[in-house]
Amino acid sequence: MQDLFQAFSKSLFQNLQGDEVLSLALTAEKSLFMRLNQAKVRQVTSVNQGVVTFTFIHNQRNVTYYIPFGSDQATNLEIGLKALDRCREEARQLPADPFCPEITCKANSEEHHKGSFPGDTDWMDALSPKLKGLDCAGLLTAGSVVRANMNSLGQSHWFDSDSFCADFSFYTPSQKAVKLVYADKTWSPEIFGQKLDFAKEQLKHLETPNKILEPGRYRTYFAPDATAGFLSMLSWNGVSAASYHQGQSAFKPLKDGEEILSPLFTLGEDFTQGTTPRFNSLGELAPKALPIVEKGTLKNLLISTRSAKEYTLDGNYAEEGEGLRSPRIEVGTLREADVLQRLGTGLYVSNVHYLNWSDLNKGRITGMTRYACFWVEGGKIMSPIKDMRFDETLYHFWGKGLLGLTDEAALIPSTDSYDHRSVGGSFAPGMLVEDFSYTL
Amino acid sequence: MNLKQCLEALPIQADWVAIREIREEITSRTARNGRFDQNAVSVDHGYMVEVLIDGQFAYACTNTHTEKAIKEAAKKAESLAKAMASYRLYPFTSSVRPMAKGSYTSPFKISPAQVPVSECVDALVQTTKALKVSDKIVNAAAHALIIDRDSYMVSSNGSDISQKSLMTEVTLTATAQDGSETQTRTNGAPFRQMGMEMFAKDDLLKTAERVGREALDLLTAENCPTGAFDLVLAPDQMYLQIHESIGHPLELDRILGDERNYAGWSFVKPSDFGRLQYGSPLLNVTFDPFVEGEAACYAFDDVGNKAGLEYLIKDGLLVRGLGSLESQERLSMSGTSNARVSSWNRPPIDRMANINLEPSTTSFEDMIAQIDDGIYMSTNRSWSIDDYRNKFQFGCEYARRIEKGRLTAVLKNPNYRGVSVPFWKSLKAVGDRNSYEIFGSPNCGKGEPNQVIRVGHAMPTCWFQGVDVFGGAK
Repeated sequence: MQDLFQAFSKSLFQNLQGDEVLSLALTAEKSLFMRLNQAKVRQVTSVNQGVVTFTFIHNQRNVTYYIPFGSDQATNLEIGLKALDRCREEARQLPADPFCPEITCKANSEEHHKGSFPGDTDWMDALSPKLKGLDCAGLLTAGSVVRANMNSLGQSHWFDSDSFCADFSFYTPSQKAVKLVYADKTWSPEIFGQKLDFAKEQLKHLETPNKILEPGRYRTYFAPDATAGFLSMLSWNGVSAASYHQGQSAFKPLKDGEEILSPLFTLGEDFTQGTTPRFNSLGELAPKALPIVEKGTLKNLLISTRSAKEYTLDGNYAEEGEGLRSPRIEVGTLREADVLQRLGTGLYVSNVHYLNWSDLNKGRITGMTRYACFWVEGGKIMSPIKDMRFDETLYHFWGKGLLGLTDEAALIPSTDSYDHRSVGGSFAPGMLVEDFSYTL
Repeated sequence: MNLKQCLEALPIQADWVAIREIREEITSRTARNGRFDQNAVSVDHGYMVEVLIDGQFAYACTNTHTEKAIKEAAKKAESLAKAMASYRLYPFTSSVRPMAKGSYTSPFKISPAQVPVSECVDALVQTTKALKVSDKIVNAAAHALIIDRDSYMVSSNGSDISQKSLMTEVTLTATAQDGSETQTRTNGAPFRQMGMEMFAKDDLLKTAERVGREALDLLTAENCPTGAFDLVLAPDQMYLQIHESIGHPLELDRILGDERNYAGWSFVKPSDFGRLQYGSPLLNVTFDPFVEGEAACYAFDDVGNKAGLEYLIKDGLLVRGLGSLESQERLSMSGTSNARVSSWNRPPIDRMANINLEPSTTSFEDMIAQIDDGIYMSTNRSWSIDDYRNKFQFGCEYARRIEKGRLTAVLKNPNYRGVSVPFWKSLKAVGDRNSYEIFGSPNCGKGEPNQVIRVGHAMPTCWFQGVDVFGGAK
């Protein structure tokens, strides 16, 4: 695939005319998706796909064009050259774009991350004995993903990674559930077994009647998965500079000095984790680490090259959508072993579900508790809870309501597979919050 | 490529096999603040080979456009089906893949080829200028989405189906700001099977002026009050209420537990069909693939089941689920023709298509006139529901107070929450044909692996009683 993409790019660049500039980004994968219900195979799908994104610039006109990219080079070139002509035709009819990105050549990179895991037809042989007797639903994803970029000024980036992700949930007879996610490059039956044992322990706690809580404010511990859920909201009109300048930003009160966050809260983009390529779809290299919030103070929004031009800012090579790509919330001092004791009386929330802004410009989020969530009294798990709806602002749970963060963070892999498999994930600790608001 | 010849030449042994080819061209153009902003065209084109061996379906796909690649996909699907057959959840037969022949082309007046890029661009740019009715409008955007989709399927039992649909959506956005107060108003982003007539400049300019003006109104509006109120919902909020609290809970694959790890389950049980009083007797909901212009019209679903109109809820009683032939077989109950795929690279699962609430006889004016103290909300801006499809919360852009039978003050940050069945039982009146509108969404997400599907919803304005309403954050 790498040779194919490089040869394809070279051919297209040779066909450019005058001062035309072209950047090509490749998103490709060979993936197995094995969908389970009741620990049996519901559907199994093999996907072999590639998409090349053109960023074509000529005379301050900018056209983005996506084409399929496969293993037959003759077909790729035929489609690619037609796409180039189409870009020219579109550009001829567009007005000048004063914020047109500039294609540059500043650095090259190449990363290969090899993995080792069962072959496509061997996964159920590996999993089935371990899942015997369990009600399991979920998705096993495995294969290789590619992200690459080349441009007509000579820039070249390549990132490929073999990985798998077992994203499962397990159910009691009364349909209460725990979540298990095991993602890595190398499959270890022992590690999977340990995670499964932990899930089975949690299932035992769930086999008691639910406590139904009245709406109100409760002290709550959010496990790393749940913290990552809140973190993901910041990629949707949160940390984006364009969102701020266009008047739709949850970080507006923070940036304008109307609200503050807790000195316990530090968030940044951290590409040293190695799970996500540093280059964006234009091939621009983001800083290895970028502070966003440092001890409660806003340091940076994510600024794409386009936003930098439009709003006269110093860009930090964010992706066009200015969402988080490799976020890390810094750990605190709360030991995992002390979580229940520090919680005392309140809720233990393992996961959250279906988050949405209920008041974007005030940073208020609504959502639901999900999976293994418990009522805790005196530091002891008493019972599972009936799911609850919450509605709370980030200026509370990452602000004055934040009591502490755990001293270890977990890598929560990104499991999104709309159109293509995502890469990377978030590093998030658990967080203890006072007076978190539950409404239904 | 001749898919029938390709199918006949596949080097595999299977109980049933099909090739599904899908090509989609998506054009996205945006103007902002009097300037053209962004322009993107996406061509997505590939092939899915679907095989049935020993009761197990397996899928393998490619977007390399050669017979060789399709044959390799077929071999892959064959090996996967054989390997998984002993672990299968359910032993299917080809009865869930009926033989079907036919075609469908969605209606439109003006094709994309008839409208030069420059003309579309100009209409959008002028619209953003019309949105900016005041200096307090800090951001004005107009976005055009055009989806041109072709699908073609052939199968070993003789199916030959080609379907073509052209879908468009226009989104107008005005964000107004005054000091620390910011409010955004849109046109509700109508999404239809429709051609470039969606972007008629005169219509856009007229709508833009209203959207801009209402954004300003919201800056000085009172916060929506908190309490239990009579609630009247406009169609551009009703569509999402129907989508989240009727459409999704009735998907049979969800009831079967297939979605538990991702989108969730349902509070509806198989035994509820024919028994559960889902809503008031005024509630009549259909699965209707034939409402002209609605986003999910088609002649066959993606496995070849002929599309047909079905009632899901009749006089408030739950009568039928949204389940394809596979789910119908697994549950031994009837369903709908709704096995759908997002594209060539995803397997078919139970999806919504056009899910509509039938109009009744109450005019909007009569509805308002009967309410002493209520809230009228329009245009969704926030949505959330639990994984059983019970506890929901919605936010809208714009509301009006209803006092003694009249629409009065504009209200900002209107939200409401509730539980699905009690909410639908509180349905007090359903609007007549005059308030009936068609909306939809290009992005309903579900499935593992994830996929989006295009859906349509048609409904009138509706009145609910005793709903928990609240405003923005303090």
